[in-house]
Amino acid sequence: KQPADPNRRVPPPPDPATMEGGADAFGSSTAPLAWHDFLERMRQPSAAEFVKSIKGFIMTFSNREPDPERDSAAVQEFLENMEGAFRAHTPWAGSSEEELESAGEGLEKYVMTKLYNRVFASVPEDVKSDEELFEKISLLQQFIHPENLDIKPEYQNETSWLLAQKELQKINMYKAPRDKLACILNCCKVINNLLMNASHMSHDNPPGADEFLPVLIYVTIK
Amino acid sequence: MGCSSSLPANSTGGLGNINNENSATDSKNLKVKLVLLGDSGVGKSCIVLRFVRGQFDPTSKVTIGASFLSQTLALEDSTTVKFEIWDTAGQERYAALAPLYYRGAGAAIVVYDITSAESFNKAQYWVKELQRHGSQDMIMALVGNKADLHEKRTVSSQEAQEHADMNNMFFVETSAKTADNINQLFEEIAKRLPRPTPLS
Repeated sequence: KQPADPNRRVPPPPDPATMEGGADAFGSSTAPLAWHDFLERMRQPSAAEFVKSIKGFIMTFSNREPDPERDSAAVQEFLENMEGAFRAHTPWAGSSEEELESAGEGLEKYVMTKLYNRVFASVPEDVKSDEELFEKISLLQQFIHPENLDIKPEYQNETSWLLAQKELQKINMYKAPRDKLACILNCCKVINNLLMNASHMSHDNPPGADEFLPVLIYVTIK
Repeated sequence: MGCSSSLPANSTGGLGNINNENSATDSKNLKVKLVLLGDSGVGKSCIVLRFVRGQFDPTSKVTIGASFLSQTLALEDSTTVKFEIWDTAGQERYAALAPLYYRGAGAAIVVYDITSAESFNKAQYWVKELQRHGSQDMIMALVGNKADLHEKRTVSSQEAQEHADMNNMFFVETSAKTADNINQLFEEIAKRLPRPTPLS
């Protein structure tokens, strides 16, 4: 693997306006090449059986009553089985561990994007607790200040934190779990870079969780 | 104060290394989640960065600064131990989050500052909490950091050693600034980790 800049942000996101329908529904923040490779291989005739199982799974799943616990187990089990099957059959047989891993990522992304509307906010309790959380955070937003979270004055920088907030907000534009995770990671990287700069300026120690966590919480609330 | 501000030279970004299983992969390549606890300002992140920097090893991965990173350590008996190191926020108000961090951890380092009796009290609190709620076979280390500031010492080594003995921990004084005992600390943890028993 190529050593990469730890502060590098994962490739730019596509315009959310184009994300409905067609191939663009799978807008990606991670490894677009791996994703294309996955689709390419799935189009090969030797992948016909895989395509059939995936479509079958999505169909069966979509027709069942939502049940978060069971649904989650079902998706995990399906992904696991398929990854095992990839290993043993063309067009993936003989691939490196890395290729298999990215095939697994591709599969997860495909399945979760297709099932997105069925698995997110699909039961009333989830919707309700989401709303309650949203309400609580909105209330917090109105009065919380960095000092409430023990953020030292030399690390306070509300203007730059907007950048981190923007990265985090992108999470709603993506459907695949890994892409959502990448948004969180990017947000964390922005925060860490800001803290790193601030610690240089004030000749302080490099920032650790003492400095990082409070800012992450603040950014999340805002 | 503390450690210098340069960063580990070799680091790799990406999502691939977020993984918090407590299990070893095989008897020669162990993997362990390690959590750092202690008052804010005692030098938790400095200890980690010093350790990672001292390894000159391309396998170290900084994912989120010093807050989460991983580092593989090679031992003399040719086993390797991959540490997944989680730093925690030491401020009082974040104490309630600690269980999220030490859940599933195979090792914990409780850090205090030898020049601060207050931080030693806090360390005792964390030891108690880990005894009560941590996993039974967790390897625990009590670490007095800032040993280079011995002229300002307010916590005696003897007192700390006794506390460690009482709680079945090992004790070491370190200086992240001069790198004293930093490698020894991680090597000792690595040696004490339970080895998986071969299936036979």
